[in-house]
Amino acid sequence: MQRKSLAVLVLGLAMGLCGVMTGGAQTRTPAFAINGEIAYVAYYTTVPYWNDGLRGMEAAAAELGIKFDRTKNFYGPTDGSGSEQARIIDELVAKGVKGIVVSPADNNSILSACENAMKHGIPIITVISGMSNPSTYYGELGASNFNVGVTGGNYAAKLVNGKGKVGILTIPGVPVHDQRAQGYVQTLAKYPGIKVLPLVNTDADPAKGQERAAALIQANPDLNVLIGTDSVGGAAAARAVKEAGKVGKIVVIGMDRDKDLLGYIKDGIVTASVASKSFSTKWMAMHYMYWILADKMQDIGPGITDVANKIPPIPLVSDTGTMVIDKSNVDLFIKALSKK
Amino acid sequence: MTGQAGKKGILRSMIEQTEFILVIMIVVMCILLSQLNEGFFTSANFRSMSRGFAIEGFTLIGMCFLLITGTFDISVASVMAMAGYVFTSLAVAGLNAWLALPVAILVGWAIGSCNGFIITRLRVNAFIATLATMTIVRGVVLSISQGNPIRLATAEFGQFSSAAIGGVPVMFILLILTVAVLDFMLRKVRWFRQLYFIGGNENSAELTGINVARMRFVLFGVIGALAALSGSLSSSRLEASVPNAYVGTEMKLMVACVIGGCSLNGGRGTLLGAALGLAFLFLLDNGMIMMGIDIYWFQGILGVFLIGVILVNTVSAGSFGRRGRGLGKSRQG
Amino acid sequence: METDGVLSIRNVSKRFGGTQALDDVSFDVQKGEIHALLGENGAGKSTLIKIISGVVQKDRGSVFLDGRELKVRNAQQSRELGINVVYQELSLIPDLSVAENIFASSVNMNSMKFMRIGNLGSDVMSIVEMLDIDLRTPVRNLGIGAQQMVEIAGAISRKCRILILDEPTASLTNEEVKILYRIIRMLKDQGVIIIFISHKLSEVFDIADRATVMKDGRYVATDRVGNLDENSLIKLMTGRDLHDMYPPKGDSPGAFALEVGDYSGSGFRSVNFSLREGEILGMAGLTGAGRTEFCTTLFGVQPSTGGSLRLFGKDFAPRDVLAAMRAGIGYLPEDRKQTGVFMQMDIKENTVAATIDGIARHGILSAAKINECAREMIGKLSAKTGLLRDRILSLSGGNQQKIVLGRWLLANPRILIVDEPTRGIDVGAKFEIYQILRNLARSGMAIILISSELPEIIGMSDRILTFYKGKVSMEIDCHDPFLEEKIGCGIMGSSFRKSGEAEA
Repeated sequence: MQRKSLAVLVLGLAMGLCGVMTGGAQTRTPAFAINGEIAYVAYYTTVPYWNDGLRGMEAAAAELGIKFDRTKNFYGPTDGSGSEQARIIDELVAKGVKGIVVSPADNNSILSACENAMKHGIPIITVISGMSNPSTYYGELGASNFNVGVTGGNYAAKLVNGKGKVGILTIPGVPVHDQRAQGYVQTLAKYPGIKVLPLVNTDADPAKGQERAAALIQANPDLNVLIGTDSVGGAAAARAVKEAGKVGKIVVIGMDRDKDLLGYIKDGIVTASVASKSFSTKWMAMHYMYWILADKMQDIGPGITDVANKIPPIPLVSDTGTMVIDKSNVDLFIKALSKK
Repeated sequence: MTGQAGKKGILRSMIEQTEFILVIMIVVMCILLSQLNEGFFTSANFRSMSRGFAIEGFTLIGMCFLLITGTFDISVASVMAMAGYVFTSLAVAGLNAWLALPVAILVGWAIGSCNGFIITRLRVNAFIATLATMTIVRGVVLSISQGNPIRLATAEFGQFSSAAIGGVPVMFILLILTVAVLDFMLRKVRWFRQLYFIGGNENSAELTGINVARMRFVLFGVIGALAALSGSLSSSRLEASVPNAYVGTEMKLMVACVIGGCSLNGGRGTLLGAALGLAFLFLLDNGMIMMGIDIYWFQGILGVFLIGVILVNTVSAGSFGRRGRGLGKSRQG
Repeated sequence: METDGVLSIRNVSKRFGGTQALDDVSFDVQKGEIHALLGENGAGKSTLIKIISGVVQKDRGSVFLDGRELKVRNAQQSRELGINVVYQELSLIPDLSVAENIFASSVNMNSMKFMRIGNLGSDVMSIVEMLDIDLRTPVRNLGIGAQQMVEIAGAISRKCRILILDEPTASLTNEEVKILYRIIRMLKDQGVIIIFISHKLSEVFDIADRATVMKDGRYVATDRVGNLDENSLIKLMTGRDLHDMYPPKGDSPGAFALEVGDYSGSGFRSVNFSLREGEILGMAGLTGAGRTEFCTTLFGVQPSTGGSLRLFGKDFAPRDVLAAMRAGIGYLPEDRKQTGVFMQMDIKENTVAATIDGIARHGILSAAKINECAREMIGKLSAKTGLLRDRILSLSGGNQQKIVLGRWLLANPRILIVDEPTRGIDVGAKFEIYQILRNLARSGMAIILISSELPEIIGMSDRILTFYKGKVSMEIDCHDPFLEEKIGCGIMGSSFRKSGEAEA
């Protein structure tokens, strides 16, 4: 009797543990189990921007039987400090995590921390952007910033039938903005009827951006497309167009899915916004991490695995694509925003 | 009085006025720009510029006053963002616009008075004190807003910036009137005139019966309130509060004051000059866009223009001789 | 004539705008000579020095060294030739060490190497030894006198043929002046030409070999110091006799203006005295004896810690400066540059600074009224100024001082405190300020005079208080037969015994 009850107790404990391990045990048992932590390191971590991505990570983790909880496994400084990120990565390595996904705050600060992690057999994947030395991590996932410009440029060109004058508000010297601006410039250059004006600097300031966008509109009465390479530029363009009384006469293309930008889309002042796909980027990153840790890819030949033989198991750069938000679907995005 | 008196004619004394030189430069610039781009000399363009000018102009008044007394406040941009946040939050909460504005201004005044207290009572250097406030206030805005802009959808709040009489924005008219009155007061009214004495020599001012600490304390409160007014007006125009906006405005305002004849050492400058300096900066920025200057050259060319205008000012004001103490113009034997 | 090592100035002229600063000046300075250059402000001394050191270019004439004409276009060039000037205003960098400051002026830019303290020249080392300072001390921690010495050390660490000292002793203590004299004599022995500008004539007799006097941009005379006395020098400089320097004393003091009872505060304690209308009360004492502290407390700058004041028979406790001003007290501060003039501002505003309250009607100022007040006061003090809207810095020290004095006279004080009223100003202006102060007393004003110059205290005061370590050590009438001895004892805190039996 006693022995039987003990057996039940042990069984129950084991099941309970199992349940904890697989995050509720509602998914199928994966072919390979990761017993340990996958960490995600970002920056400005209090900003709600990360919510979509974390949702993606949690969804993928649940599916893969990985324990990932945004309150426990999501790290990073509350400011944009790269050196702080490096310190956090060093600590995670010392702690013995299984893998680290990181959104680098800048191009260089965490290179040596990442190199050190990889040396300790802890895989590094970057999301949103890569870094200046790609040999310190397996690969990067994110929207290609150049392709943002390609998508937005083609979208705008179609709306104005390939004819007109285009102004672009950007922040020069910041790589993601320079790449987006180049995407726009090179795409629009393919339309002979379109003239792209010299780029205009918003200095990342909504007031200054609006001031300069307004001047651009006055300087070029025939301007019919105004593009912002971020949400500040997009909103600045929208307000300048509104103040000049040119709503409907100028196509405004924004970037990202901030609340006020979505509002301008709904009001019809901003024509469309190009947004990156945060959920799927991080969802894919979690899968990549699983595949690296499982090491089942056999690109050399049967029975010889990639990671064990220093063959890159994932693409160095994965473009996770963009989505265009316009009046047709903006309500969905606004609804999603109010849910969070 | 010596025989020198007769030699300084009206023309000479006019040329020595920074304001006069600035007016000439502004007129020349307007003529040139209207030739280069017909979009420049349009009511729409001037309306747009006058709005931006009016918004920053209110804070400029405070900065000019502080510079005259030989100090400055670099926390104004953060205060603008904070006031904008307070203003829009109250709007979103359904408060009457005419109540939200004074509340925002009160918050600004409180922050400014904190600066004043730290600087005049605890005797902390103004740069360090306002740098700290700048960081703290910005940090608070960013964390309570989570970095998100708050959209201001009500037309009631927009009217502060959009109201116009005969096409001229009301806030611009108000600013011009305020500047005119205060410029007169700076020249004629005892309390304001004493600001120059403080800037000229703090110790001497103290020994001539001026309560330096109290006056500075008041001024820091005033610039806080003015920055809050600017921030609220800007939010009204942006239809949103943007927590990370206005970075660098303090520098722009200080540059405007210096162009207008203020000295970072205090004791010099006029409000009219500072306002003309700011107008010049706005025209310059607008002109660069009008001319389609390449984005990567923009900052550099802006800098060259600024050095140019300050050089013209110094040369015309004859400050070369005066500054090179004991060189050229010295009367000592 | 032997030209080796001789500095010859020949027919040098210079005009600034409407002013003829130098008019056909010629004289020689011999090798290894200490040569005093004397004259009132505006006499052309500074301009001459600037021409020799290449800071200013002459209009006409020439300067010869060793019989060769010197053609220097800038200060750099003159340094290379071995001409070094130590100005009154120090050019040291406060946070760098003594050694670094000495090197800062001597290290050649293109051969900048690591600094080796042991590599200082022997002359420099002997100065440093005389000063007994650690080469690693930041200059900030040194007294003003030691800083001046460091400046001189810097100057002679370079090649040094001619050393020009512009009022080197203005801010030195007696001890430091002695050290300075030793340094100057050491350099003289090495054949360095030393030109020495000073307003203190006693120093000229102490140290100089010969003196040249200039007046209104013209050369007046050169003579061996042994052939001159103070009286003759002043006559050469100003055209006036020394005996006329101080106006006659007052005769009949009026009612009590100020009665001080056991008054204490930061820097002084238990001060007792009274001051009458029409009286000039001199306060003598060493630096830090509490005279300035007492007066600034009386003026409401800092609070007192005990005791009583009666002002014209009424109890008085100044809450702040404004209250003291309203009660009829004026204070001419000791350091004109730090606490007197408003540097950036013009002459008229400097004049009316303390009375701006009274000039304003309903808080609004009238330019005409300001001009009128300023012009009237400038006329009254016969200050030589340009336009009322010229900056005060364009004036000489003496005229600046008159403006600051005028500022207080406009306020119509009944008690005027003047703290070192003639520091750093030339003989002529001193004379005028003495006249002004005596006339004010004669018109019934009560005046407290603080001065470090004993002759001035003795010449001006009706009564003298000596301060020693924060307390009044002696009160002496100006007609006392042992006046000087008593003051000396009072300052040193010893008691006076008749017929030279005094201590110290």
